[in-house]
Amino acid sequence: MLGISGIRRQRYQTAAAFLLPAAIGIILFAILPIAQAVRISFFDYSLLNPEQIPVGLENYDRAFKDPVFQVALKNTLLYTVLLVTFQTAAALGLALLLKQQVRGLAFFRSAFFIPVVTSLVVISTVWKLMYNSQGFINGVLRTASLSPQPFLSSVDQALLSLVAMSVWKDVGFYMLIFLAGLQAIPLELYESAAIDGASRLQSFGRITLPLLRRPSVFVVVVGTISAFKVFTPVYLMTDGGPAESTMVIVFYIFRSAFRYFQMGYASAMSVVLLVIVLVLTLVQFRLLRTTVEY
Amino acid sequence: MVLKPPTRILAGLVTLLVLTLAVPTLVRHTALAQQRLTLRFWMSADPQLEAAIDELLRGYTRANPNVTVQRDAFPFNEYHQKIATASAAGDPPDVFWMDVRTAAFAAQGTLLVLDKYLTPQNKGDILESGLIEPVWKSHIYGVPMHELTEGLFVNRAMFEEAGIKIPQRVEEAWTWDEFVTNARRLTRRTGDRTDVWGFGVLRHLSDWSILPVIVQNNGAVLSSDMKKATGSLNSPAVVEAMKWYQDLFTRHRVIAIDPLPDGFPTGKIAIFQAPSTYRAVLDRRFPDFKYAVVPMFKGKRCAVTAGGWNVSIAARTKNPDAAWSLVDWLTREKHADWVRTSGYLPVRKSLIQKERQFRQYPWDIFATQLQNCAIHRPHTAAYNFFFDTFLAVAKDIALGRDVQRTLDDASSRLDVALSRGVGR
Amino acid sequence: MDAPDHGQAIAGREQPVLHVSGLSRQLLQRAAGQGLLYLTLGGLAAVFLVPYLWMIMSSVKPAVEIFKYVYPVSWRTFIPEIFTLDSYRELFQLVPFPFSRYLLNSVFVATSVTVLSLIVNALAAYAFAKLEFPGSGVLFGIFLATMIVPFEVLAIPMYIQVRSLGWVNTYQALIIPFVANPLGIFLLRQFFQEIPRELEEAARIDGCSYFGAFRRVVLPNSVPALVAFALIRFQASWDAFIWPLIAAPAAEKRVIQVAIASFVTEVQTRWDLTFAASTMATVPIVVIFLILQRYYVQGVIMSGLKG
Repeated sequence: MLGISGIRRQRYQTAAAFLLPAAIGIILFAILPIAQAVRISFFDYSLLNPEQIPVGLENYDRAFKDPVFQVALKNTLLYTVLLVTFQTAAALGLALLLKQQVRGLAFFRSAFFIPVVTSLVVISTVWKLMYNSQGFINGVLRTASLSPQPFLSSVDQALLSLVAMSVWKDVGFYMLIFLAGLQAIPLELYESAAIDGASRLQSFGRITLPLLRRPSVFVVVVGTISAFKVFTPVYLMTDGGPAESTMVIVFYIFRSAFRYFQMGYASAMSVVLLVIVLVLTLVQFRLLRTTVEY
Repeated sequence: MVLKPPTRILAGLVTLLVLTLAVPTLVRHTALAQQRLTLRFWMSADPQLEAAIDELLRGYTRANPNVTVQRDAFPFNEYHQKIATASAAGDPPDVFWMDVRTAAFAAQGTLLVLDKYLTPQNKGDILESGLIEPVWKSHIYGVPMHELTEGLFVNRAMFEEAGIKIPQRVEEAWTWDEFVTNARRLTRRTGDRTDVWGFGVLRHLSDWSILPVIVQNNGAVLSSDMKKATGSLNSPAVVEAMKWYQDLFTRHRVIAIDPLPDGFPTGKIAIFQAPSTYRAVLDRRFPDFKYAVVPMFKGKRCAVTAGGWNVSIAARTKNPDAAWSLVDWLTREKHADWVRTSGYLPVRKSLIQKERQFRQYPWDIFATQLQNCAIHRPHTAAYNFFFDTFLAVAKDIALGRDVQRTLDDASSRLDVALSRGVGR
Repeated sequence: MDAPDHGQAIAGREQPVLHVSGLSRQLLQRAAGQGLLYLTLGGLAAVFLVPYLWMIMSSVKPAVEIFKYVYPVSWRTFIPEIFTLDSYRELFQLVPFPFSRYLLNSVFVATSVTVLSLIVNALAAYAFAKLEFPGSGVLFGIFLATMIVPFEVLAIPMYIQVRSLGWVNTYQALIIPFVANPLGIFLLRQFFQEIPRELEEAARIDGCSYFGAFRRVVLPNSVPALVAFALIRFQASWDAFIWPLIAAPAAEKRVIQVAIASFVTEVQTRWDLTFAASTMATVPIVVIFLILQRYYVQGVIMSGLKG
C-alpha cells in the first residue's frame, strides 16, 4: 500500500489518541480479565490456593453433566424470555399511553422512571419484604378481597415474582426509547393512512410497529443481554430457591467461585455463558435487523 | 553509708532478684521493641461487638506499644468471601475470626498451624465443644474466643395468660409432643391471617437450627468420616425427624415460612429459638419486653448446636509470633472481659468455675446444654456446599415437598461434593 | 401532533356538519376516554411510587412499628404512629464512622467515575463516530462484546489485576475499572453521528484541530446526551455492591451499599437502619434526576435510536 497521506495520517493519529484511554481501560479491566477467566477454565484452581492444576476440558465436561448448571441455564432462558416479553410490551404500552395529550406528562414519565435510577440493592431489599406472605403486596391483595399469594415461597411464582420486579425497575428506561421512536414517526403517514380509510388498529400495525423496528431491536437486544446477567435479586431475595426455581447462571457461577472456591469450574461456566449470549445476540441481530426508509 | 552484714546480704539478694526479673523483661522488650509492626485483624461486622473488640485492642496496644493493630469488620453474610478473596490475592489479614469453615481454609493451606503455640495448660482450660471446629486433620488452626449455643425464648405474658409453666432447668425441657402442644395453644388466627405464631426461629431454616432436631431423633446428616451423605441424611431417623419438622409448617402451622422481622419482641411469635446472644439484643432494643429463657426441647436425647468464633492466623503472616500474642490476648488473657462485654458464653472452664452467674438462671441453661447436649455442624472442607444444600432442603420441606425424595436428592448431590473435597 | 388529535381531525373531516347532540356525545366520549387515561396513568404511577413511600415512611418509624401495620394495608402502613428520626440519628452515630462518611465515599467515587467516564468515553465515541480509520468496525464490535460478560464472572481476575497494580485498599480500585464503558461509547456514538458534518467541517476549515472541533462543536451540541450518560454512570457506580465488597477497602473508604449490608449481623437485622440508609441512598439520586430529567429525556430521544 502506498504511504498514507498527511491528512489521513493525522486523522489516524488523532483517532488513536482519542481511543487510547478507553482502550486501555477496556483492555486492562475487561479483555484481560476475560482472557484470564478463559485460561483459568482449563485448570483446577481453588480460590484459596495459588497452585493450579491443568485439567484440559474437564471443567466443561463437568458443566455439561451438572444438573444444577442445566437447571440454571433453563431458568435463565425462561427468565429472559419472560422479562423481555413483558418489559417490551409494557414499555411500548406505557410509551403509547404517554403519547396521548396529557397534562402532567412529565410527572407520569418521572414516576415510571424513578425505579431506573434507584439502586437494585435497595429495590431487592424492599421488594423482598413486600413479597412476604404477610407483607405489603399481600396486604393490598387482602384489602381488595383477593387471596394472598406465596410469591417468593412458591416454586411456581418465585421466578415470575423476580420478573415482575425487574420489569417494574427498568421499564421506564425502555419506555423512553420507545417514546423517542414514536416521536420520530412523521404524522403525515398517519394522516394519509386515515385518508385511505385505515382504522386506528390498522395504522398501528402497519405504520407504528414497523417503524419502531430500530428501537425495538435495541430494547430486545439490550434487554436480553441484561436479563441473562441477572444476579443481585437472586442473591438478595431467593438464594436460587425454592427448589432451584430461581437458580440462574450468574448466581451459580458466583456461588461456585465465591462460596465453593472453585474458580476453574466457575470460569468454564462463564465461558459457556459468554458463548451462549454472543450467539443469541448475533441471532437476534440477524432476525430483527432491517433498514427501513420512509 | 555502711550496711551491717545481714542488711548487706539482704540488699544483695534483693538486687539479684530484681536483676533476674528485670533482665528477661528488658531483653524481651528490646527484642519486640526493635520491630515496629502492624497487625491486621478482621472480624464480622456488628457495632456492639466491634466496640467491645476495640476496647480489648486498646489494652493490647498499651501492653505492646510497638505493635499497631488495624481492625476491620465486614458484613456477616459476605465475611468469608472477603477472607477468601483477600487470601486469593495474597493479601490476607494477619489475624481474623474463623468458624466452622476452618476446614475449608485449612485444607487449602490458608491458615497457620497453632499446635506449637497452644500449651497443654491453655488447651486444657478450653471446653471440649470449643475445640471441635478449629481442628482439622488433628491440627489446631484456631483458638475459640467464646462459645455460642441456642435456647428457646418465650413471651412471658402469653405463657402466663395461657397458664403454661415456664421450665427453667434443662431437666424440665419439653418433649417434642409437649412443645407442639404449647406452640399450638399459643398460635392465634383470625380467618386466614395468623396474628401470633406459636413458634419462630432466628436462624430460620438453617442447619444450625435444624440439626438438633435430627440428632435428637438419633439421626446424623453425614457419615462419621464426613465423606458421605447417602445412608445418613436420607436414613429413616432423619426422614422421621424432618417429617416432624415439616408438620410444624404444614400440619400444625405454628411457624411461618417467611417470617417478618422482629416478630418475637413485637408479640407476633410466642416461642422463639435463638442464640444466646439474642438476650443482649432484646435487653438493648426492646427493654420493656418481658421474656424468659427456656431449655431447648428434647427428643430421644437432648441436642443443641454450639459453635462460636475462633481466632485464626494467616499462614502467610509475616509476624507469626506477634500474631499469636494478639490471639492469646483476645482468647485467654481478656476472655473474661470479652464475655462480659460481648454477651457470648464463656469457653474456658476456669471462667465458668470462677463466675457464679454462669451457674445461675438463665446462664446455667446455656452452660449445661453446652456441656451435655452440644452438637456441631459438620466441619468439612465442603461446609459451604453443605450449608447451601441443607438450606434448600429445609425450604423445600417446609413448603411441603416429599421428605424422602428431597433428602435422597440432596444426599446424592452431597456425596459428589464431599468426595471431590471442594475442588481438590 | 398525536394520535388523539389526529382522531379528532378525522372525525372533523368526516362530519363537516355537526349536530349539537352529536358534538356533546363526542365530547362526553372524549372526556370519558381522558378520564380512563388519567385513571390508568394514575394507577400505574401509584404502582411505581408506592414502594418508595413505604420505604421513606418506614424510615421515620420506630423499629417496633415498621412491620406492625403491614398486613392488612391501611393508612397506618404509611403514616407513622410515632414519628421519630432515631434511625437517622443512630446512622450518624455509628462507629467507627458515621454513615455520612460512607455517603461521602459513594459521592466521591461516583462523581469521579462520572467525570472521568464522560471524558474518556466521549473521546472514544467521537473517534468512532467521526474519524474513519481502518478496523474501526471491528474494534467497536470488540468493545461492545465485552459488555456481555457479567461483572461477577470477572470479579476475581479483575481483583488480581487491581492487586498487581498495587491498588488494593485505594479509591482508584473503585474508580478506574469503571471508567471505560462500551455501552456509553455506543450511545454517545449514536448521538454524535447525528451532528451534521458541515458544522465540524466549518470549524476545521477555520483551522481547528480535531480536538478543537470536538470541544467547540460536538460537545456543546451534545449536552443532553452527555447529561443522560452522566446520570447513568453515576447511578451505576452508586449502585455497585459486589465490587466494592471484594476490592473493599477498609472502613474509611467503604461505600454506601456495602455499609447497608453490614446492618445484617449474626444475630439480627437492623431494619430501621436499613430503611433510613436506603432512603438516604435513594432520595438524592432521584432528586438529581428529577432536576436534570429534561436533558436526560432529550438525550435519549435524540440519540438516534429512533431510526
